[in-house]
Amino acid sequence: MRRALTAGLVLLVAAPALAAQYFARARTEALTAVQDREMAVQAAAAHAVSLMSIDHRRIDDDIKRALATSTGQERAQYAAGQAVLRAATLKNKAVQTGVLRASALASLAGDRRTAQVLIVGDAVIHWEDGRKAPPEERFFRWRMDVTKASGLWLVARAELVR
Amino acid sequence: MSRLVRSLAVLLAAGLTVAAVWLLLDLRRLQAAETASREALAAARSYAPDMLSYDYRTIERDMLRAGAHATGQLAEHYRTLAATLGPGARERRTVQHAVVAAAGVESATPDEVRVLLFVNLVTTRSGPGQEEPKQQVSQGRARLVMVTQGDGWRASRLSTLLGDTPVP
Repeated sequence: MRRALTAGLVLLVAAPALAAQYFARARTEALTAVQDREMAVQAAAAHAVSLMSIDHRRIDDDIKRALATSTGQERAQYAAGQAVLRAATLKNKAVQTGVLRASALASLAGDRRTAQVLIVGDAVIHWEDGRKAPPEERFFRWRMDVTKASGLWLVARAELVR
Repeated sequence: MSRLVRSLAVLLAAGLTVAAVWLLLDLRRLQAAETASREALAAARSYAPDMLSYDYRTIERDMLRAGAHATGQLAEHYRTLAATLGPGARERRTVQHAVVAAAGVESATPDEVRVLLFVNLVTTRSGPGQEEPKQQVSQGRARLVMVTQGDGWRASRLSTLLGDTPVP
């Protein structure tokens, strides 16, 4: 009788303990997936803002920021064009101000190491070199491939969607 | 076994049961949001061409079809759109064809999903006396807010994301 009672109590405690452990693991997994989705989108949004924000007074910092939010092909392409961008920005005393309109997750790979993110951004560019040109508006639709390396999400490819 | 140990075991079991139920409910909420996100994205992708395309020859039917994908005020808006858009469209013989270039999820709960769409609009018009129609291609951005009342997904809001560009 005493043994049966003990077994019953052990079962009474063990069953909900095992269930709680199982659900906690599944919930942690689901929350991590949510976090990965959010971080992938945030990384793409940050890179888009970096690409849209250019000021001749702090062009070196602007370039550094765009390089810091990218990796792989995107970083290589940006690095290859940075001298031209820097020279043109300084020559024209250009200031481009961007605003992020929307960002959305198009897909997330099964292993949650790569994602595709859509970005909508608008920018206006004006020149402080004395020219009498009206500011120019620019509208962007980007599809960005984002990749996770050492826990950090970075943009590996950015393509303007036509 | 003392009464105290038995009471503690029962108390512990009750606490663990409450925790397990809470974890299960929260897990279901997360899974439901993920499922909603998938379903609403697919629905928005398939509705958008209907909701943004029309032909001056069939505009009443086109607006009815578009309205069938909408709910609430947006559905009401489509009911009146044929009357407001029709005369101008017929006069200029406007045909607008929308193609979804890309789509993604901005945010998702089990009942509401915000979907971002890149939509290419091909608009053909010919004014009075013009023989050759003029074609214009524009790259649009739209946000569809999708909602469900358990009977499939409907669009409750549609916006074009055309804000002002930042002032330098």
